[in-house]
Amino acid sequence: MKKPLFDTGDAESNELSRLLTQERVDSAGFKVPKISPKNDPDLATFHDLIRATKRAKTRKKGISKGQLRKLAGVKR
Amino acid sequence: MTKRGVIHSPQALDDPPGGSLGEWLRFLGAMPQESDWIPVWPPDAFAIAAAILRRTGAYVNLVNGTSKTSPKTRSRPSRASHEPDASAVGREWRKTLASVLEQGETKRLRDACPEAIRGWWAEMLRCRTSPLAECAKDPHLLAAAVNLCVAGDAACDDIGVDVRDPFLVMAELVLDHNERRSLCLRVPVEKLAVLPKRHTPQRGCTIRSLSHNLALFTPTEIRAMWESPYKAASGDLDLFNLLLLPWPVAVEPGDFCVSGHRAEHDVNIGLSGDQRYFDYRPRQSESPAKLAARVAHAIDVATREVDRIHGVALPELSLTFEQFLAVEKVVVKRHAILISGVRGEGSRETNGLPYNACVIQPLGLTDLAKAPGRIRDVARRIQLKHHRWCLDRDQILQYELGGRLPAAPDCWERIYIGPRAIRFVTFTTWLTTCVLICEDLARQDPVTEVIRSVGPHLVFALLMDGPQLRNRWPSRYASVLAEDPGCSVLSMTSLGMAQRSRPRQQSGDTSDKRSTIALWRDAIYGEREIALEPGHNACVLSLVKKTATEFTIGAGTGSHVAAFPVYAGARSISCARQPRKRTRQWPRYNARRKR
Repeated sequence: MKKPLFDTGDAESNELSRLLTQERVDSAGFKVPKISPKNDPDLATFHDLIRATKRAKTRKKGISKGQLRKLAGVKR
Repeated sequence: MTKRGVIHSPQALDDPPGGSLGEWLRFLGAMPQESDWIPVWPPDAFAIAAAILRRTGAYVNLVNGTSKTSPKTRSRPSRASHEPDASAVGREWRKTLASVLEQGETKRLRDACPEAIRGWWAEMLRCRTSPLAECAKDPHLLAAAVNLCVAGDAACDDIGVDVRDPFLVMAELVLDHNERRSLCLRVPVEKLAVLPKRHTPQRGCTIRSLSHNLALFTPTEIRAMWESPYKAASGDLDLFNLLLLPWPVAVEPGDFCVSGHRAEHDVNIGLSGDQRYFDYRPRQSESPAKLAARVAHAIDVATREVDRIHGVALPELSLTFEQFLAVEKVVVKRHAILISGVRGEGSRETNGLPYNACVIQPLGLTDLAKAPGRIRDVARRIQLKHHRWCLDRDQILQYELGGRLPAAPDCWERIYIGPRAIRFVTFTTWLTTCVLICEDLARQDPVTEVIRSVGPHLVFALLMDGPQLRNRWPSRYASVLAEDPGCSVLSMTSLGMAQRSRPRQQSGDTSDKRSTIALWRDAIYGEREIALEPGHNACVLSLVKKTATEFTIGAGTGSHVAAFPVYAGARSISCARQPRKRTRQWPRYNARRKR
């Protein structure tokens, strides 16, 4: 999909940021909490964000995992 | 965002009355009607507390020495003796949060919230039914707000520029969730925005004087976005060499023309029929490949003068988008960032109007300088000019354009004004930058509030202007940003426009300054005019990091070592010679090619 010339922050424009965050989340060592969301909605919110990021199937065509890791500054 | 956060309601309090602090807190995304709700995410605590201080104006008491609102010297005797230091509480909060996020399963996030934060929040809730106007008179409430503000800020050290611990990674995640526009988890980005901050103003007394790491502002029509930090291949830089290419080196009167579209058509596309409009359309435009070769040659020549070129900058309207793409390829391959003004023809996307934009390509400093084009596409950032340039009579005479443009009525730049945005891009820990295009530097609204809040290290002002002399307008506006919040400002124009200009010389000053293509201004050493030597057409500007301690207003709210990019020399160079084409000398190879 061609990137719009003037987009100013919609999902397409921030694709690289999302991909980098995904790599950083992968390497940050977050763990899914054992306590129920009812007991800690805040933590659950955070982990929802983490899970959503891990699940996101963003358009990676043309960008390898290794390249993203380098750019994100994370190790395998 | 998940709705799980709002179902946690063990004990509901009465709804706060209209106009009360409680109602206002609820508007901001807090839940004052629930007794055990606390701000568990430091940027939220900062946003809510700083917003109250800004709304009531009570933070000014910090400079008055009114002890009742000073964070460490509250007057309530029962608590004052063991009142914790808000900065220390913030740092402890950060440590615990990082630990909880890493281990996840053993501790509730709210358990990571220090007791002092709960106490200060409870103090604010105590006044939830008070009218907002009365809150400024309650010293305990205001002390609690200052403490929350300071603690939230202290917890966010290095936010937005580093990702070394889970807290900072989580901050990136939240930024992504908010389309890079705010760090807040609970406070909606449409109501208040919090972004990372690089400078604290050392003059004046505003809400910006109260924090080092977090910037609060009310979102307006301008979308302010903080880019994800990129990992530089060579680690943190000590020196930043910027190659300034003030091209085109010649601008002809024929490059300007009165717009052919007038009257009825103008009304249809939003242009007034009473005004005149002009287009800037250079008659001679180099092919993208040739221009890219010239830029590559310029980098090679510059590299003989300095160790390495880290960035290349070109002024407003210097390239077409096609030329930019070709130049970008060679610049990124040579491990440098690229910032350039770009012009383009009208399209359906721009309602038929030409556009004037700046494009930032940050990829060159990273490990991915030799990556394929796809990654360059997603890393490229485009920002449209916010305001049209109005050429008045004086300017038309100054640039000797009277034969092309009518000098009687004002003549406006015919460009598309699209959605307004500003992007803060971090190249290294001491170089967070943003770009303004010409008129956007002079027009304070709507961008200046955001720039002053965030305080980027360096503001690039890409201009199409006369020589960059100390007594001209860019210097005045740069000095405003250098003083508050402390930004360094580089304004640069093309040699062609500088040469066209006939500025009014100061009396007694007969020197020709029309080769002054840039002006550097920083908060520590002041101004520097950057001029080219005769026959030269490029310049290498060297920047180094200087650190200085910045303070917030009021005692006990902490100091912080801030970085300032400062001038470290400029060298004019000539790179006019075209690189010689290489031909292979092997006879068999050449013979095969001929066949």
